[in-house]
Amino acid sequence: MEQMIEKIKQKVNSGELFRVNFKTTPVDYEMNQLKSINMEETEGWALRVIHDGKIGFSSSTSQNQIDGMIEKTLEVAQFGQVAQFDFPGQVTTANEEKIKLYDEAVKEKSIENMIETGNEIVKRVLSINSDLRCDAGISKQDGFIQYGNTKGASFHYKKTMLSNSVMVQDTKENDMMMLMESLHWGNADSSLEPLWERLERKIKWSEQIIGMGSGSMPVIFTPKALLVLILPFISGLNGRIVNKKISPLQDKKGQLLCSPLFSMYSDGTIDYAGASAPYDDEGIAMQRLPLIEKGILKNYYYDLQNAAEAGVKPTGNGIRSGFHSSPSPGVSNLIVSKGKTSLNEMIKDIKEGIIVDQVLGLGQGNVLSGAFSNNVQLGFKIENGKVAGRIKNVMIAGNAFEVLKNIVAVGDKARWVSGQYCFPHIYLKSLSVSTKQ
Amino acid sequence: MRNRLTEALNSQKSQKADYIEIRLENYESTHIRFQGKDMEKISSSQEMGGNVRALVKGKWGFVTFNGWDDLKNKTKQAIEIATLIGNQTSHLTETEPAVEYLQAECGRDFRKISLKEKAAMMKQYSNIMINYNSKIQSSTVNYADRYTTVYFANSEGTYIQHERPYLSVHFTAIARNGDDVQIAQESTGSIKGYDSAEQLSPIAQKTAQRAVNLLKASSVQGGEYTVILDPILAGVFIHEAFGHLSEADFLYEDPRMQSLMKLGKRVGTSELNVVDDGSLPGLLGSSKYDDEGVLTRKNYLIKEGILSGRLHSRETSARMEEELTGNARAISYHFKPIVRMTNTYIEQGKTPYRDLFNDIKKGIYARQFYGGNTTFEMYTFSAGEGYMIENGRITEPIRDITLTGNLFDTLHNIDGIGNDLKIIESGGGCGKGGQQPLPVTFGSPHIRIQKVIVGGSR
Repeated sequence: MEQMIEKIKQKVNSGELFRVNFKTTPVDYEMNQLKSINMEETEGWALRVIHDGKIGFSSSTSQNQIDGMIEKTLEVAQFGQVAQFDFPGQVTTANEEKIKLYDEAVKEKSIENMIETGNEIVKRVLSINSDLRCDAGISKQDGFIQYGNTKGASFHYKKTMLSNSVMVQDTKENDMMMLMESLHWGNADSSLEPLWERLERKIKWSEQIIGMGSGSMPVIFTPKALLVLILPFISGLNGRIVNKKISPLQDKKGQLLCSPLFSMYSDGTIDYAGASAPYDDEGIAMQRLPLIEKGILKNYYYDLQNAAEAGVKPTGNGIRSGFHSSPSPGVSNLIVSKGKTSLNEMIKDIKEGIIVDQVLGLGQGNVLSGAFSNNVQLGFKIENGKVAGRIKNVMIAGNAFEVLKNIVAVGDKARWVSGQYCFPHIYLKSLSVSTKQ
Repeated sequence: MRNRLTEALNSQKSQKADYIEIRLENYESTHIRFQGKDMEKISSSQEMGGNVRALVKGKWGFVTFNGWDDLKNKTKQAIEIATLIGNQTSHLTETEPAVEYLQAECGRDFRKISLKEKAAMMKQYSNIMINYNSKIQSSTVNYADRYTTVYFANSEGTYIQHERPYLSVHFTAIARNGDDVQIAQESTGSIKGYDSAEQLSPIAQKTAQRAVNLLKASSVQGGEYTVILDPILAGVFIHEAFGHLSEADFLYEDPRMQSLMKLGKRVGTSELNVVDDGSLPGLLGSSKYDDEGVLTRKNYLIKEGILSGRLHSRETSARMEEELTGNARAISYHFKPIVRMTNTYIEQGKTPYRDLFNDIKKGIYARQFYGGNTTFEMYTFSAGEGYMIENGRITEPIRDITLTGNLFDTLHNIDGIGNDLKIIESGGGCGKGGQQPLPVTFGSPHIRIQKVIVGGSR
């Protein structure tokens, strides 16, 4: 990489080179059977330059293309956005040592061992009910991320990820129950037990289908479903959206936005979490950034360009969605603080209401405005403090910014969803629920 | 290139693979994004990669890589991992080996258009939106082009070299009134070259207009309604809610699912015909061959209200003992070909579309789309704009309209099909199994559906 940086130095005012190499091995089960094994290797290089004050970007799958990339970036930089920043001259080394991201045991995991895990998943699902259909995926990944720029900053780190996911389906005449659970983590130590517990509980709750009427009622969002309410915050707190003056949350720093029970952080420093890293994708140290604390808006999140435009410090949220994309503001791991109420206490508290566990149409519609409207793909009705059965053909709708003002309670346990979001249960006082008459 | 691929395939002849295919791919792409009056992103990328897929005793091994080196070893690897798990008989429907060199049939080649010209064109569109009205707070124009060459060879003698140009332009307009932020989106996609990126000013204008109009609309009241869908939303509906269920890969191993999707079952009125056709010329979902080298063709999924066909890969076709349809598609070399739609539409009906509104006491006219999603019988999709219908007339504008329901109930409840079929080439695409956005088209005339659940927050 150093030689390439030298080359870049000769041709452009300043530049940065970003490289990823990922090796992923998924073992896939379909319909209770082992179906395929893949071996996937991705190698990518991205060059971003600032030349004559403007930004240019190009990417390639081969380091042999460096001359072509330099030429391309210079060509596109002529039309590029005016740079408000320059690349960092150094990175802090502290984070590199502090955050654990790599587990040799994940990298060394044998395909045979992954097949064993897959077989166990299928076996356990079928032992709950032999009529179920189970699809599963066991996947290991090891990655290498490298960064260097012409100002002298450089870093690299290795990262592993182990994923176990399972989809359970129960099909009857004109009815299908579909349940998805997964565990993603950076080391090989996590147990599958919590996954069983959730699966078994929800399969049991699903056995009986129960009718219900429309209206406003109390709703509990499980950690898996909570993203419905969080997505509008992810976009509304994005520094780029704020700079463009299209965020409903702009100019609200320091204001009480949600219930004081609600706190949320972007935190890229958690050992083995999916979005953790010593640095973001432009060399700024990852940190724990309070977004909302006790209902009060604390911070927006930024990459270098947008932080400079806003006149604030970058927050370590310059994220690339793949090597083809230049950095823009993105959340790292997102943590909603846990509260004090157990799920059972929440259920007991509700005379008539629902639990939402999976929705259809996540992120569909005008997310920016906070509006959501989703089919409850998997949900349960609560009657007189007890789960009475599974609901069908039910829609929930509302505005996330409004409904999070009315939180009754926050769950006393939080859990990781997709390896990146750590959420508790959230119990809302009232939400609009529509159903077939 | 043909020799190179054939050599790699032949090198593993002694191995016991029932079938092997190699796909190599390279592409060059350009991406331009204007935000308001400013160029926000401009980039240029090139990518080179490939995959080998091997079938051994009924199980697949799949290896993907960047660069084109060492194909023999990659082929060997794919066979090895498949051999590790192969334990039954392989099933693939036979297909005539084909050798073809397919040139792109496009107008102006976007690789020969200067960045300057592309940027100027997008700037013009962006200005139209941002200058439309003082309520427009922001606008985005996203331009992307990609010129891909795919080299495909399999162990049965097929070799297809295929040039695939693709271009899309997305428009987003954001209107704001205090805390009320509304978004409208339009897009266009094409495989016909740079010509399709020109003359889009009316679309830019329309996007801005819709965003501003949404500010005036009130949120829909949740409940059950008679709805009329415009060709865009009806097209999304038939693609999302029904089309995905016609993809045989999700049911070929699932007997209960098969019984629910049994051919010959009546699913709608005799006026209802649904087609998927990858052989239509020049559309986004079109291609002479699918990504397994099978010829595409016109497939009736519903004929006169009766479930009459489904979409297949070579494997699902063999397992279900049904004919090949040419629907195995892979979005890129990172992925295996899986069963996908191409150009999917509801055929023309007889009713002039204005007549569909007659007799509706209280209903919703839902137009345009934000997105859609489905899991088996449940679907949900969001309209980009809409109006109340009262006593047969279009009245107040409404927004935040999400429609949901059970597919089979809904198909039976389609009681009016217009005579204004339109095929939509949007810049978005279809998503399945992480492969997104796959270029497809969808279409329909206006249709009327009884008893649709609409989610609403008031």
